[in-house]
Amino acid sequence: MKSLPRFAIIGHPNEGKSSIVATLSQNDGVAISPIPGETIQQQRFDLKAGDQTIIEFVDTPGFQNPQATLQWFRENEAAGEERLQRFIESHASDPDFHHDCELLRPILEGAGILYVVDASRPMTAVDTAEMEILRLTARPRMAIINPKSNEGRFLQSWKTSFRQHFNSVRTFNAQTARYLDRIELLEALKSIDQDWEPALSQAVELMRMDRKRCTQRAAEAIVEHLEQSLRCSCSSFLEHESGVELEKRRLEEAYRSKLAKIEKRFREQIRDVYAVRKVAVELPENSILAEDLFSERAWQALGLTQKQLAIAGALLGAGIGVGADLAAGGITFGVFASIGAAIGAGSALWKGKDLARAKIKQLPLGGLKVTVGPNVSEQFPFVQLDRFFLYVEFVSNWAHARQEAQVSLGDGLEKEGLSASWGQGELKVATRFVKAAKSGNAEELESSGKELRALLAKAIGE
Amino acid sequence: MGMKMRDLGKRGSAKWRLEELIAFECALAKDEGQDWKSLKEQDAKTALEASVLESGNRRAIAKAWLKARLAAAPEVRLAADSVSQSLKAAGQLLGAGGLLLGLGAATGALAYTGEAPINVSAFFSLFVLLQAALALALALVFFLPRAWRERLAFGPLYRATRWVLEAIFSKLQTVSARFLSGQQRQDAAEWAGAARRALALHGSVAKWLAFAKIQAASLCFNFGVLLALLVSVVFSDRAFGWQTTLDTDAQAVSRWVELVATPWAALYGEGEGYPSLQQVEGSRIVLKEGIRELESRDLAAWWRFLAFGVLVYGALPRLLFYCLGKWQVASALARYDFRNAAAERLMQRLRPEAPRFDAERVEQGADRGALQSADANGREGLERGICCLCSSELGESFDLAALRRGLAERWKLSEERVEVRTYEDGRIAEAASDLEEGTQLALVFESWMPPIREVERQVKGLRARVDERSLLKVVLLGIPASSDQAISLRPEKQYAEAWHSFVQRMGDPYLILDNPAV
Repeated sequence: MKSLPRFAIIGHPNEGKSSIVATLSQNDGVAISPIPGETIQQQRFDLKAGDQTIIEFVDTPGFQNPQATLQWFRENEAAGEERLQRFIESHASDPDFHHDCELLRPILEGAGILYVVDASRPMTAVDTAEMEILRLTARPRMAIINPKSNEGRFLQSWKTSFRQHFNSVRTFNAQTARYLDRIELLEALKSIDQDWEPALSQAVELMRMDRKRCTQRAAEAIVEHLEQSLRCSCSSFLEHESGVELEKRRLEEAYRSKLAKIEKRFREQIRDVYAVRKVAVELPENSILAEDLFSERAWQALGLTQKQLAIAGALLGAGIGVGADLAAGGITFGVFASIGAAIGAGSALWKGKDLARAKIKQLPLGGLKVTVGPNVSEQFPFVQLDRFFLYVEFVSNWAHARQEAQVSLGDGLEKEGLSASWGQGELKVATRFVKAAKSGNAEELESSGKELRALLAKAIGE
Repeated sequence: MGMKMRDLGKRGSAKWRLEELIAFECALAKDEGQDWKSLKEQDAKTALEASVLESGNRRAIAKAWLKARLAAAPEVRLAADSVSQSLKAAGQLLGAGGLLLGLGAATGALAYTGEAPINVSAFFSLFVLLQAALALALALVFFLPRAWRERLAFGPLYRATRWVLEAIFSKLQTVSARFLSGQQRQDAAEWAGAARRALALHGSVAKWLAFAKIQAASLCFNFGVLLALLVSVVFSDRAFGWQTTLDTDAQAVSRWVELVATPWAALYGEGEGYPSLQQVEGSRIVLKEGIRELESRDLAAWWRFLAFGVLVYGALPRLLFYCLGKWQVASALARYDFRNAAAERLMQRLRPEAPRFDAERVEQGADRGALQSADANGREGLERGICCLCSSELGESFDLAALRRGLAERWKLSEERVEVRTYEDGRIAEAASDLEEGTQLALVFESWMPPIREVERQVKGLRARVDERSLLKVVLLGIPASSDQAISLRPEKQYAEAWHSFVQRMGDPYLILDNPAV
């Protein structure tokens, strides 16, 4: 069996090695801590595409004795290529050198080197010693600049030194790296050793395919949960009219909670799709996604613009008119369709964020049936869809190294909903689906759902 | 409850008692987590007498500060009281245990049913001879040359025990590392460091305190034996006799008894303090003949001898050892060195214009006159200035002249008294090898490089070369805020915390982080 590309992530303690491993292997189970010395032994983390391992990353402890190690390397120059092995053999039983042996062991086993530094700080003698040790191992190596701050004054001196010691240099912020950044880094790894190029190309290809699968699954999840939201309703039976108001309020609460549960299930599914498991990604406080579905802000920021709403309303209303035209045998020349469209557009503009209104129905055998939902607002499906879409965007670009429970989101980091950018074509696809979901037409639902999935997959992929 | 600290801070009295030292440690421990500014504010309220502060007598200053601190913070007094009372209670428990043990053991040995008399030889061997032998052995230890004592203390048994303990500790460390997080491992290492520091600072006091408590318990044991003997003699009929299978005549036994009774023979002579030859002869037991034929007076003649034996060979040496222990505790307290890192930090706090721990002076370039006067005020340990050691690579990256200026200003010394030396390849100890005695050392490190084993070894190597009681300062460089700034002595919090933990883990009471954080 052909061996997989293997990379050891090496560096000084607390430079973010484990963070790099977590983000590159897309594994939030990697132990990360702001305290130096969290990692005390080498640990392998595989980057997988589906069930297939494509690259092995080895997280290692930080250097503890770089100057002494370098001195030993220099003193034992005669050992040649066996120098590394001899160092490990002669220091394996020394507890002081445990970390150094652990971090050099994967290199001895043939791993490539990814040397991680925080270039926002000045370089020291210890850094120079570490780089020199790695150079003396003669293994393919790349320096990764993992900046912990925006300080760039020392970058040039680092780069100059990197050029002397490494085959390649990349900047990669483990905390903010998105999917494309990861792909770019993997592509760059090809350059450090030609022998790995085919395997890495295949790995990148498999990763892209896997990403595509994830995108498809995310689009499917959006469509499935959107349908559930559109059809969501709550009802109960009352014997007398006296408790109607109270019951209405209770049902409204139940309706909201049912919708919230749908969103929760959706979010869990998406986190599963993108393997964000251990870290409970709490939404940023200022995120529109953290808002209640029916909050004023959510309805202002998401969903369709007034103009789009008019078009959507017209598209939804036109259906009713067309039905009347057909009933009249087509002799109305589409008059009903035009009127329906006008009514639809008007209502869409006016209804705004109108919550699902309660319907009270007198039952023939006495008593009342109170029903809340489905939501009648034309804006609702688009607000809901945008929320689903934004969550997918948020999770799919989550860097697995991020450990914070609460994310702070700066302005501009969260784009507006997807639907606001849609033209008439996309709106038509979406409204077809909305109508099918509301009417419960299975055939129509399937075909329109397929179109909507494709539309969403394309948007997520972009 | 309640410590007698009324005389705390009495002018001219800088003698420290154990309770005060405990309170001092409690107060310092409480202040440890607080920021520099609030500590300065807290100290400003204490309003120590200027004469005490100006005297430069660290013991007196610390004592005056403690008095004020205890008055202002009842919780510190409470904590200190708790520790003191616990120690006292432990001593009392040991004493009570000794008394009961003596009472029980002697009562058992004094059992008499009228058939066979109490065996004087057995009683004497157990409660007098054995104790005398132990006391003699202990006394001899004190007279042994130091090298012998150390060889005895660190002999094969010590080495074997240490090897076993180290193996267990190492195994525990390996096992625990699998399930402990980095934070937990760090906490554990800090605890171990704190224990080592406390042992280094208070080991002598603790050792002699334990010695005194053990002697007090032994004394109580002897009192228990005496009490049992007196009670049994006064309130019941007891017959004492000696027996042997050997062909020993009574005269030899009598001579031996006389010799043993020499210390009290002047006060209580033959027949009173020890049995006469006739009484010795009359109290010999031959089991087959029984005791009916023997004189009751002869059989009762031994108890005073035994009682004096316990008193003189058992209780008296223990009393002497107890006094020795107490005296040594007092000596150890008197030897307590107020130049250690924690005390040094306190002294820095109490200086009106002290260099701040968590910030630099806003005003740059203090005038020379002020520096000279600060020098003149006298800082113990700074008679020969400070030598700052930094790596040669650091010297290449930063302006060492600016570092020297900055440090001189920080410590309020003239520049001439701050020397900056560089070392190659981590050889710190070698760089400091030719320094004059009395020169204080400061180690300059880049704060942004978390301390590693190599640094730990280097610092330990340096400590092995210099006096174990000389203060080693760790000075952290911060990342200069701009390219115009040559040097920064303001380490960022995120980096300084790792160094603070490093100093804690080292467990060296004379290692101080000079500028912990901004």
